[in-house]
Amino acid sequence: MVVFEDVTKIYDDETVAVDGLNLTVEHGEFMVFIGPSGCGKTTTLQMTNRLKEPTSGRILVGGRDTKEMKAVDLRRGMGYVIQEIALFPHMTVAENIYVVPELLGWSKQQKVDRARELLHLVDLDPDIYMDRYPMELSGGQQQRIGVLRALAVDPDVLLMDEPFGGLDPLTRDQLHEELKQLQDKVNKTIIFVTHDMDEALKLADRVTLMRDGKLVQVDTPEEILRNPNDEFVANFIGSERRLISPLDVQVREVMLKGVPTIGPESGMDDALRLMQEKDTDYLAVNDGDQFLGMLSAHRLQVLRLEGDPGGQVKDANLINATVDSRETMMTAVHRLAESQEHVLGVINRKGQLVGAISRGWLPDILAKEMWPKEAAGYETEES
Amino acid sequence: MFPQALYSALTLTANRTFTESLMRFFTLVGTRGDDLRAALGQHMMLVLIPVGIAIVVSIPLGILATRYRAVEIPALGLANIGQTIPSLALIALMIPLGLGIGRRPAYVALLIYAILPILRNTYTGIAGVDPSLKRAARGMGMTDMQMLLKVELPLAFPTIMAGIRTSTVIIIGTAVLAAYIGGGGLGQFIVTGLGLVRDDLILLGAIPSALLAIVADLILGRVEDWVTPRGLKV
Repeated sequence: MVVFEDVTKIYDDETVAVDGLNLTVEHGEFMVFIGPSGCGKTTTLQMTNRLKEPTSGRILVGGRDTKEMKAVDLRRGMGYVIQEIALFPHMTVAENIYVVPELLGWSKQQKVDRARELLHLVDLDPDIYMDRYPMELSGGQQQRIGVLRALAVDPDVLLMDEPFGGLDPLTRDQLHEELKQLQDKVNKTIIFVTHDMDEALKLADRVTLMRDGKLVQVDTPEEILRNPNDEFVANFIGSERRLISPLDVQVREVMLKGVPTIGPESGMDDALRLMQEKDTDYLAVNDGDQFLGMLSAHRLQVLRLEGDPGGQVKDANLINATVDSRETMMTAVHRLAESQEHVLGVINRKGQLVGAISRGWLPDILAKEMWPKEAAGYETEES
Repeated sequence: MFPQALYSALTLTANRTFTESLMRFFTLVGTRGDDLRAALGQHMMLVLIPVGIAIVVSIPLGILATRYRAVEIPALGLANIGQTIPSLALIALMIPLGLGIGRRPAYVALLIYAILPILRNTYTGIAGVDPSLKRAARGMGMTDMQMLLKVELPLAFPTIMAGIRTSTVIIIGTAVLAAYIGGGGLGQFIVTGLGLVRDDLILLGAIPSALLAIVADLILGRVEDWVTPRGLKV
């Protein structure tokens, strides 16, 4: 977690680069800073690892005031990826990855194992790439190594300063996908600076839009697209992006939350009683943290007609169609149609249930997305 | 093999007097072999000692100059001035400066001459390291010393080595002038030869010092290549 408290940066020439910034980047959050040049986004990033010192205010990383720490210790505990890539040209890929581990005094074996593990993470064969020099790699491969180098000692926080700005659009797209997949595996707190709105919307959990050193809006990409705070934000997003289709919304934005859950060993009668009590057609069957499937009233009905209302919930032929919470509604609708089910479990990156999308709710969801004001009366989230 | 070939070539150009001088030079190499070896030894010392000291002084000074402006301006300024003074004048200046004659003042004068190429190349080599690499190094948590040893020096090394090479070759030539203040070396033959109008003696100094410069340049060129990090050559 990274917390900015009243952070201000005034340069020697009296330019106010960052003006009273207050912001919390949650643990495991992918936060993208965006804004026109000179808005203070890069200064903010560089203050996080003390390449620049704030004029006033505090920055807390993992609960500790960065000013209380030695700058080199702080930096070694934080990944740093920059637009220029800046792999050390006289070092091999492996040696580049070893840099921070070496500063921390890791053993040879630890370093080698870690480098191999990291290369596997981005599907680069260690036997081929470990001993290559940066100049023997393409730009895209170089920046993959740049990211791995930053992850070498498994830091909690990753700082990325326009890391893909120097790459061609195709490579950039590919690296976006890989970074998202990588983030699923490593789950870092990421502060990512860009001036590319598409990039921001694609990658961010939340976007921080800055202007003249101040925060203008901090929101999820969907929220920024749907409800820009002011003219500046709207202009910055650009009109073509604002016409967002309800089907482009991420599932997690509109899913039903708080689906009642039931254990796999419970009886069918209990399940029915719970449905009536919570006034719902669906139950999530969870074995501890493990999501097993959805049980629908419809299926209970079928079982009952077949004359088999007894038995345990887990034997009830559960609905196991799911959708990732970060997929779009487009995917969810498609998945519903494809699976012929009435409900989809919405799962997070760890495979746990976080909500549901049901056929019955679809019109409400779409209406709310298309006509947010009129649909305000509808309530799509159960409490 | 070589002398004959050279001889016939020169004969063909019909430059009689030079050919004859050359013939007498070869005779002289035979008769005054011991003197030649001694002078060559002295000459090499006239190069190795000043260049050696220049390396030890200039590299740290060059590094400091990239760190502190207070070092940068006087160090590079003085070295530049030292280089501007004509070499013969600088060597002759040692006498009025109170250093007298002999090898010691020769070493001092040649040292002053040797410093600039190494100092300047150390400075430009390190200052020329891509700033983004330095930012990355700093951002990854290297101390200033770690950045110097792991990033800046390895990358600047070929440039520094080129400075050492330039310096060595220049000093091999300039060391010939040391003979004017009794510094010894191959210059003795030239100075004496000029006095006696004996071109074979002049050649006895000139040819070995020229060969020495060429050989040193070739060898140091190899070293330069050898110290260039592999990643910069691919």
